Amino acid sequence: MEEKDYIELNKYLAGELSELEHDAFAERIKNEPDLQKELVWQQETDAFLKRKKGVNNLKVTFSKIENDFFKEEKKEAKVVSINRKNWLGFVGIAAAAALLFFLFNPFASPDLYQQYSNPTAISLLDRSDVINNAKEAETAFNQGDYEKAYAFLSAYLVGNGDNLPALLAKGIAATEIGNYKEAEQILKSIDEGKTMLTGEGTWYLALMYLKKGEIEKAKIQLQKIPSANNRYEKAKSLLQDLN
Amino acid sequence: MKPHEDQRYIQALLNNDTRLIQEIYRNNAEQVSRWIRKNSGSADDAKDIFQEALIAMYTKASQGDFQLTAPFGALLLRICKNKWIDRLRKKSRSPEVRMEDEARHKGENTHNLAEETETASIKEQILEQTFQQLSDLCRKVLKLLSEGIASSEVAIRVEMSNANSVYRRKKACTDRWRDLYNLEAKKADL
Repeated sequence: MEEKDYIELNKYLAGELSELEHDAFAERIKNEPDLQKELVWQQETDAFLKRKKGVNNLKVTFSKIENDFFKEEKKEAKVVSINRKNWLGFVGIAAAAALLFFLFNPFASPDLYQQYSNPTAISLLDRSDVINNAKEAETAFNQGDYEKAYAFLSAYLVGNGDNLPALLAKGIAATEIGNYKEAEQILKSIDEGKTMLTGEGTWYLALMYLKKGEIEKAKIQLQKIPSANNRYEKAKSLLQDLN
Repeated sequence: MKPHEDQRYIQALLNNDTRLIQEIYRNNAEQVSRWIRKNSGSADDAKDIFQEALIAMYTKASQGDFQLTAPFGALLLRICKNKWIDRLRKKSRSPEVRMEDEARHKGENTHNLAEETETASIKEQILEQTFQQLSDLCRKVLKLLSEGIASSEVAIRVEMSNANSVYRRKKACTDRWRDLYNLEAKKADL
């Protein structure tokens, strides 16, 4: 197809032709199979691109509903029981990964954040646990009260600064309350470290950028997640949505 | 012909109606989950397949004519089964499930619509996959135009000289997209 015909076809579809030009082109379409074929392809691809948005909106709705109906038996068996005297401090690195697996969605707005996070909460402490700031931090975090969680986690981390899961939780809480500068600093430190939580740091750093609206930075982080990481599929899917 | 009473669920997907979508989950999730777990899958697999099937139905319905001739749940289960069997087959596991299942569902009136929905779903996946293979600029131009943004405005946003340049670029992009699409569609026997 000649370029000028293609351009005219697109102007026709976009309503950018005068009435006279529009009618004349409509007549040509009726009589020229090549134009008809191109028209169909243009309409199909255009409809596909429009549908992408609808699909994304549906996925957000599904993500709000589905966990009530598809219980993952594996997950329920993994609830972590830990030493009551030092909650996250005694969590080994594997348990820490399990904790993060259970972290519920820290993002409350009905958008891509909900779609890409895990809404399941976990209880790590016995009722009898009385550990300064730890129980409060966990409760606030699991209830989605990030202002409070942030404050308790900050207090807890004084003296427990090397506790990666708690640090990560603080990074997430900081993201949620819009304290992006600190969130970036914390999550970057985890992302750049060589621990079992590196992938989690990368993932939440990407989500932080996403929430902040820095899409290109988010994409760079998502692309870093290796295929062996359990966030890989979600990262790939989020990347597709962002593209 | 009078539309099937479950046609409202198709409409619910098109309208993203949370209340009715919740009803879809309530009425069908358990059955799908049980079948997939019985056939080498997990609850997470079932969740994914269930979501994929609903999106396939949405895709098909948004393309126009989608008239239910059987209960929504029967069609949904049929599509979920097909999707799960295909996934197992790709992993070279349990190919016998399909044979057993095909026999069981022979003559069921969900068959044609399920097949059509699956075809629409595969086409959609190929469109997505090949769209992702286009350059960043291509994707941006196509996306902006599909959002109804005037070509002159798109020209400004992507730093091109005028609307005609945008359309010239669009032509290069959609020609490339079509080539990629046709190649993949052929592989998938579409």
